Amino acid sequence: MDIGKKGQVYEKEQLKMIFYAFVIIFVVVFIILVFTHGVKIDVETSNLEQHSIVYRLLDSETCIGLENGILNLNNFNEGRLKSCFNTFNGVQMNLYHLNGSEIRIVELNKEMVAQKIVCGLKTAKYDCYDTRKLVIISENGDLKNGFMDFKVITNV
Amino acid sequence: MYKRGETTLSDAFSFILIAVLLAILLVIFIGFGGDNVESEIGVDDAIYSYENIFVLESYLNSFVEDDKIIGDLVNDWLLTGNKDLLIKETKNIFYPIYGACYVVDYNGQFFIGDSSFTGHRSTCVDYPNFENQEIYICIDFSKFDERLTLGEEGKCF
Repeated sequence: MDIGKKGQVYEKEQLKMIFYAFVIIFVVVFIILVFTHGVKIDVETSNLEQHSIVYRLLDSETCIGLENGILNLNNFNEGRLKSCFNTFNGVQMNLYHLNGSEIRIVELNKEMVAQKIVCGLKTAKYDCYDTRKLVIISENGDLKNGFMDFKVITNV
Repeated sequence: MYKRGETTLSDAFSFILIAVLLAILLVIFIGFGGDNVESEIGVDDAIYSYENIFVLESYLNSFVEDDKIIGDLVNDWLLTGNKDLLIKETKNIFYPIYGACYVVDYNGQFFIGDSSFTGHRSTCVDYPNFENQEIYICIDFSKFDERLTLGEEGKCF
């Protein structure tokens, strides 16, 4: 191998090294992005908690007493709900007739519910979720349509 | 000692191998990242759907005129094809609650409410029928809930 050919070989090796350097950088960036993404997902679980609170309340036949979409008004009171539903989060439930007239408001963890005034503020340490559900209200044997507004307040 | 042809072939092979490796990593990253985002939304949507199963139950058991429930009107539609009363009573129930921000999808055959909301965050149930056809009923009022959270539910009425 003469000097000219040797020079060509080194040049080729240098080109390869640049290529390999890009490969290494790509792999490192890949690993960093994957791990960063994973951490970000772990943090963003507040919606899950809020949905699960509403689901647990609606699903508990022994607590809120919703069966076949029918809510027994006698079971819908603060005393009963406090004894059968444990949560550190704030829950406000407003029950209305279909015409919009209010029937009853039940709150769990009033201190947390009071934080609802800061809902929507970017700097707030609380996250709020609102949903409206159609229910059938059983009152003294009568079945009437109504709806319930849920407001769930959780810590961010 | 490699011959000149062998060296070129070897280099080409290693470059192709690395390019394939990079492509696989890229696909894994896109797939990994995409799946995570979707699975997060998927979990939220799944629980939201479970929440709204209760709304579908309430809807189908709601009493309408002549001591009938909505479920009876669905059966009438399946048997006779007449859906006028079903549409009227469904609107009577849902409009006061969700305004224009809801849709009920009857097996993709017709919609009650605003069909532009279909599929946004739907909750569906299989409806038992007489001919063992696969009939589903879906409901979606997630747009209303989003506006309720922002205090803008008035826009639906």
